[in-house]
Amino acid sequence: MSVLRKKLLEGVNFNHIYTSKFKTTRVSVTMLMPLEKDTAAALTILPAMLTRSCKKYPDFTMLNHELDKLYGADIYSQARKIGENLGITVSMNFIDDKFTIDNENISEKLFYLLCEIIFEPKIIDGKFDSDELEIEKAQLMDSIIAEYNDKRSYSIKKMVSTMCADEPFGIDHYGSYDNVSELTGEDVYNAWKNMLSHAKFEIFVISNCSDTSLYENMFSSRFVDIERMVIEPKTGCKQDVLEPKEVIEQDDVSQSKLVMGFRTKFAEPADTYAVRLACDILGGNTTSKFFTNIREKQSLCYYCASRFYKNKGILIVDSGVETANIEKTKNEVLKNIKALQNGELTEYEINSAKLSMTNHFKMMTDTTSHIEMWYISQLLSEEFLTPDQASERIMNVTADDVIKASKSISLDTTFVLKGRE
Amino acid sequence: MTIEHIKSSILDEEYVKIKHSSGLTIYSYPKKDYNSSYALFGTKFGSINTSFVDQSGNKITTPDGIAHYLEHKLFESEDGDAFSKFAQTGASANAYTAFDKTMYLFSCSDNFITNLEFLLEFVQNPYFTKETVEKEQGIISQEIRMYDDSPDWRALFNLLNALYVNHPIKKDIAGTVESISQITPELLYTCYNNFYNLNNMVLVVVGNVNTDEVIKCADKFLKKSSEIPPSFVIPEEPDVINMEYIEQTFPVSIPIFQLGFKENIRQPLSEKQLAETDVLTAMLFGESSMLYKQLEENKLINNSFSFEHFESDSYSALLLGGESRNPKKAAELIKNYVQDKLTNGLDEEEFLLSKRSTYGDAIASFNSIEGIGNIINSMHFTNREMFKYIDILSKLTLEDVENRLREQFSIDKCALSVILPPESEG
Repeated sequence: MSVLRKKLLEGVNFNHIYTSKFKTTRVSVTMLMPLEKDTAAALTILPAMLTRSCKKYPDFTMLNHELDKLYGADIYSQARKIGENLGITVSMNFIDDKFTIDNENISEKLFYLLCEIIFEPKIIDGKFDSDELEIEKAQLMDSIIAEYNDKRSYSIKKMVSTMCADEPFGIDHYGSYDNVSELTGEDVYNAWKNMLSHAKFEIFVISNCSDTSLYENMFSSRFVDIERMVIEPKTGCKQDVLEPKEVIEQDDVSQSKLVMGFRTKFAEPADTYAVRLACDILGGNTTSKFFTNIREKQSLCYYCASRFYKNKGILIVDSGVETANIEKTKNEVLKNIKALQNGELTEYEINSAKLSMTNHFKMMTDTTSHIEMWYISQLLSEEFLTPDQASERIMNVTADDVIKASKSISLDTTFVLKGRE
Repeated sequence: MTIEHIKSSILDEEYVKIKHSSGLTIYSYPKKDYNSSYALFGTKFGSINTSFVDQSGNKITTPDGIAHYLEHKLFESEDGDAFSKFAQTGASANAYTAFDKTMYLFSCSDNFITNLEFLLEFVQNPYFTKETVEKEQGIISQEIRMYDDSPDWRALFNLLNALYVNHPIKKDIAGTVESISQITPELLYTCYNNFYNLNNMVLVVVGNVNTDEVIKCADKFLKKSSEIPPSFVIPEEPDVINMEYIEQTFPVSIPIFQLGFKENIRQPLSEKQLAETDVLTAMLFGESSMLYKQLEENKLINNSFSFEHFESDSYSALLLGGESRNPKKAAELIKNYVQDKLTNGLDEEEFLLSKRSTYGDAIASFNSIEGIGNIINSMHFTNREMFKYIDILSKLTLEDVENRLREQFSIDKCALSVILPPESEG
């Protein structure tokens, strides 16, 4: 599942993954901008505005009718953190021309429509439409308020914002609720203009079309009148922990949430394979230390999982437990990490973690969105590895490498959502 | 053993349905150029089957949540748990219990047949002891607590309670901390022996698989089951709802609602009814609909809004909802819109667009081996066939869909469930 990566212009890459096994084509454009408190809100709402209407289809219902006509083609918008950058993505999925009635050519129309959406939005007097903006603001503000409804993700988010309070990674991708509520059509217009001038563009196409030159031209021609000065994406990896922090929040819930954030010394572009394997051995699968020792042996929880953020070099452990068992679970997590640091690592543990990780890598190649995510997650790395190549790297990590990497794991912040006793 | 080849000219794909001599029905769906494979093995025994007549004719009632408990415990065998077997190959194994079924599954990139052996073996070899059953109480209690704190989950179950009078669908899948404390190894064996009969089960494999190898593996590892199928007791459900409105206060920051339209069914819906509902609901509630536009412009919904045809062989309801600042007003608008369509009929242009879009979505769903496996599975337990669904979908008429609208939707069988923030904060 290799990718053909072509530079269309400075800071504009066209990544083509050729395959004939899918029933659909996926095309996406990801634009990377620095993650900054003041610009985040406008940049986050921007892709939602772009996929709501455009000059050609100036209202949400009209645009959706056009998509229905093109066999239910889907448009998605997304704004997310990629390391300490804001990744703004507009993507499309549509069925292959050969499945349409009378072999209609819909792909060309949809590539064109995607370009229209990004480069020709509905702008009136130097502003995005204020009625539409109000709807999208209400949507985004609702989703910010509703973060609290899901206690697991809410707790993880609180932990991250505490842990990285003075780093860009601690900024929410949308800035803040107030930033969003104050947005005007002019702000979003300026964000759009800035993005066209400064963002790094990564276009991904997963299709059975062997010659993509027509589509490449469609994109490159859109940049002719744009003055570009690309800002290169970057990220930071803080290494030292001075004093571990702890935040406790009370709530009327029946299960408490425990989230622990750890620093490591490894973030891409540095080699992260050993620490990722260490993370998997700790709490990434059903043979992991946390699953075996905390869930199965002590019945303390239903889940106790660890995840590594390779673009930032932090490791997060989270679990849902009885209020009375918070301290006990926390100590167990620390004890298991300590054990790994002290070299307690069996061949069974390392092998099953390796196989589990490589299994996940290889399975990515059967889903279009996962293929795209696989490569997007490597944008901050200095190389683009295929799942097979990455699997080989994982298989070559030794027990010593894992133990050495695990020694860099140090507790920075604990967040507890404390439920009823 | 009988083998049936099922083909789709639209998709240019085919799969095989095998009635194995052991009693098991096996589906094998090879996908060209796929690197991974997905297998599902399970039984038509879910949370709603707490009452049944056993093979000797005795009526048995079990504690709520027993199917789910059994699912957890089946992973354990005398020589360790099933996870450790799959760990030898790296396969990702899991299981789930739904209202009407319990499924054990894995997905993998290598060693498919070895993993299939593990799967067939562990599901056919129960090992329940007092100690292992007791140990699970703590884990499942935490799982129940996790769902207790999920407002979406609570909104759904409150709605099911409002829609249904007798049907056990209104009970939580995992039971309660109290009900599961009554579960014993003996009860688990009783359920296992009645429902984990291969005649009541299905195996589905999709992806990088070879049908001949799958049959060979089945020949070797399946133990023939007796031919007496278990019989479920589902209480008679009246053609009315239990209550129109239900609400609960919860630590949420924005209200959540679920609105349901109940349809009483005596037998599973056909492929045609299913296709009609999909086209119909996309045109009524999808993002292109006039209703969606009205709801959004009045700020009554946000992008958490979704709808689902919730159905199996003994129930069918159309559920829709999400977060809303004014759930009652949102529900009123939706009900009025449906009533208007019931009175004045549907728009032809909207129908054609919805049919095209639903057709495109159906084609696209054949990208995913998990998606295909899950569809075959649910189609099997409801006596349907998915290629037939696509064929019918491509031929539907406006009249078909209008008839289905009148058959499925009735304003007096509609209930609303609302989750509200605590008063002090709201």
